[in-house]
Amino acid sequence: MKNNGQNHKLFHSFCLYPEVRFETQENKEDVILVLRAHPVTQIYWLLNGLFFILILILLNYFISSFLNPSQTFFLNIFGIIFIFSYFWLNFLNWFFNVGVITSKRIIDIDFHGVIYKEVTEARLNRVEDITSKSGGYFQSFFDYGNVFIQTAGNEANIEFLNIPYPSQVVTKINELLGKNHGY
Amino acid sequence: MDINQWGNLLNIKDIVTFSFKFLMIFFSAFYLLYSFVILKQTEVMNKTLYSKSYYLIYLISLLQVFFGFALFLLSIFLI
Repeated sequence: MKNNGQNHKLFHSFCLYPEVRFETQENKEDVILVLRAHPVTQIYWLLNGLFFILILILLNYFISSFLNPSQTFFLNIFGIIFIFSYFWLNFLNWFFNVGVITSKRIIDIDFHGVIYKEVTEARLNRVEDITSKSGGYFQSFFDYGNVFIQTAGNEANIEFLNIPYPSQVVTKINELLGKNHGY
Repeated sequence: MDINQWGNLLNIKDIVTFSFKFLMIFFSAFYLLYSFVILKQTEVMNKTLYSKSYYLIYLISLLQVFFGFALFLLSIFLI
């Protein structure tokens, strides 16, 4: 595996030549880029988690009047574990929803609600058109956006949503397409 | 049996305690089941995309199962 120029940016949401393997990886197929959603798009669940912590603290003032100490203790433990699970589930969702660009293919791995798995892939020689879209205050400020990859024939189109540095991603794919097509 | 005796039999505090215990056992069992599903799914995810953090991710999901067991036991014996 080629590890020269290994680079991770933005909490591993933009990884160049990372040390990862994926299920359907072929021989002599190098992983060039692994993309996850920009960390700023994940702030909502961090804020939700903090809100839940606040609710749990406030709840203690009310429940102690009609629950005994062991019940209050249990409810707190349950609340803490529930919040931990909420954070963990969202982290897993973020960590494993990736776009992978290899020397041969472009792969989009999606886990919906952790339970459902969807893997879409397209060979580089089937790629026809790549579009990056970035708009709005947040996307411009934090430099993230969507990349749409259109493929020829009946193969599914691929979209990477809210990924960091979309223009760099398009450049990288174009480089690979150039090598693949021999120009 | 007059109304006071019925009142003694159906002590409101006992009803709250019983309902609370029943609900907590139910939720703990549900959480335990959920943690097993997440553990299994973590395996699937790690297989789909294997990285160096495989063991750490698996360990944290396993920790959830232990939490689930602890909650279930606490809900039965503590409250």
